[in-house]
Amino acid sequence: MSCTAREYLSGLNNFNRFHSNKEEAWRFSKLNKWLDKEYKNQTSTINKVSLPINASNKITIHNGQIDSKELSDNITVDIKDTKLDSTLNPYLEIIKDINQSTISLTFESNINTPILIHHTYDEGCVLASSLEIHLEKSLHIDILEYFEGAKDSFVLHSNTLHVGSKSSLHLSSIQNLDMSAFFLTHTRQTINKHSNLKEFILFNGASFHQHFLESNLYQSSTRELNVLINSKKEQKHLLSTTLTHVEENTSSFQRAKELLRGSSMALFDARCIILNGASGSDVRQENRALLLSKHAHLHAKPHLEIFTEELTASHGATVGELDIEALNYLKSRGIKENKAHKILTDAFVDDILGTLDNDDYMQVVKGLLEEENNHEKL
Amino acid sequence: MLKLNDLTVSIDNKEIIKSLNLEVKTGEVHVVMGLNGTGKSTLLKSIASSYECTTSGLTELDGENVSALNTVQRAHKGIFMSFQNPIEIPGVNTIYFIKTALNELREAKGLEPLKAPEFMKLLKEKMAILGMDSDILNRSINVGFSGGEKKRSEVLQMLMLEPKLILLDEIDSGLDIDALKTVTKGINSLKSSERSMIIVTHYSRLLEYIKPDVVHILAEGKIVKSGDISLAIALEEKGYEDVLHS
Repeated sequence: MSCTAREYLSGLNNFNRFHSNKEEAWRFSKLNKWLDKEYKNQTSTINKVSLPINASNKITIHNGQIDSKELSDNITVDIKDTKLDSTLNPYLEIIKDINQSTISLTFESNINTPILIHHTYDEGCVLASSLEIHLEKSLHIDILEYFEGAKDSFVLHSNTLHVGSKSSLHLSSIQNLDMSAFFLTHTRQTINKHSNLKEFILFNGASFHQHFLESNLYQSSTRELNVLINSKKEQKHLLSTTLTHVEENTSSFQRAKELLRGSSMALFDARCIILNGASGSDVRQENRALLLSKHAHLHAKPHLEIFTEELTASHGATVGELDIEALNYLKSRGIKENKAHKILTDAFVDDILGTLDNDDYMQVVKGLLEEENNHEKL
Repeated sequence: MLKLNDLTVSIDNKEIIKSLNLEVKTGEVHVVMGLNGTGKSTLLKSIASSYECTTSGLTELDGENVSALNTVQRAHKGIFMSFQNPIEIPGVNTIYFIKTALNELREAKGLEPLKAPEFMKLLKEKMAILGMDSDILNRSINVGFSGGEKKRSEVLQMLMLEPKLILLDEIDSGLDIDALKTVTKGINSLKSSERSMIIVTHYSRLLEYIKPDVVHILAEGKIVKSGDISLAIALEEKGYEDVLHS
């Protein structure tokens, strides 16, 4: 049976046309367009990419369910049924009746090699997936989450992250989704005393991608977020972060870079709240966008809400095109236009890729960006 | 080698070079001097077909009309311009840049790209001429370079690319005596009967190290006087006012 996504969803929960308002019309019009597309109501399995990551611990989560796992004994896996809280986001209204199971991973001791969490989604899905990661005290863990697939699918992915005191987590998230996907992610993070979270996120693919991130920092904890948005055609990426410095001597650094082609649009709403008890905190926000097309747009809203007097804080945002002088310099040495563009684009993302601290991950990300360049040539 | 006929160049709709004629024969070194703002840099930029120049008139290289060729095509024909203030490009490694430029040029000539060991051998040879430290190669193009390092890097690129027409825009500016000697040693190593140079400078000091065949004075976008090295010496002694009106 074939029907529109709207018809399919209305059978689930009497769903009606989504409300829109002037300010957010661009988001909802996109959603409405998707809802009226033909929904196949059947799945076809994707061809999973083989990642060149040397991970002795790996888990594949397919359509929100565990597909396979090779995990050592000191990682506990638990599965529980959960209910979506649709008050969080109006989008959730349309999938609130879908059953969701939460996969919970608890790390009890150190693991020296990266842990690979591979999320795959079939074609034509409407689903919710959820993952909880718990780090006990004094651990050092490196996790790569890789997302792929979701052609013509609507996916909500929730992440809950608990970093125990004196622990350190390197979390890299490569979201390489099909260009037709609607993908929403909600992440809630607790960063406990004297702990450290260093996170890298690549947004690549998806027709519409919304990422909400909430993070609470407790005494003397540090948090670094590096985001690279690689956008083209009519893609829309919305990244909304709320970092709350709850206790003293906390430190956060949010850095986002956007490569925007075609008529793509990105919104980076970076909110940082420094509460009264968070004296001695250090807060930095940076956003740099490179517009590779005159039709691409960026809305950057870095903002700080400060309730304490003793802190160091800075924020800034820049939007620009490729530097014509730099382009001319490369061309004056005989480097052809498209190659010169690539060199400068690579240079733009060079520092943020450097934050990955893992050559294998970096090669995966570079490969995806390279693919993008090749498509652009075509 | 190079023939400019009735060359007119505008930048931002302002005419800077006005119906200029110039011929540089193969193997010759020409020096262009002139007061600030007379169009010396613009002249070189237009020969290299820089993006900001709107040019009319004829530019011939080795008898071929190259007027319609863009920056890259002219570079492939063997035109190299050393910039007065080379731009800093963060994130682009200097060694990668030079290797890419060299291999693009080789590709345009139908040659195979140079393999890494051959490239490194060649690079080390050229760096030795300039007494350069290899640290510079792993840094981003011109980022954090001193004035002298920037000029050395320009000359290093020139030595690697072996152009046939070299355009040097104030290559001597910001250099101390020792650096000037090293940089000019590099430039002189490229002097040959097959290669020509046009050098823009304000000071005859440079000409103690690079001997010119012809010296031109540019004023209001035109060549108003030409001569041999004695013209540059006269300028140094008497200034433009006296020389142009004598």
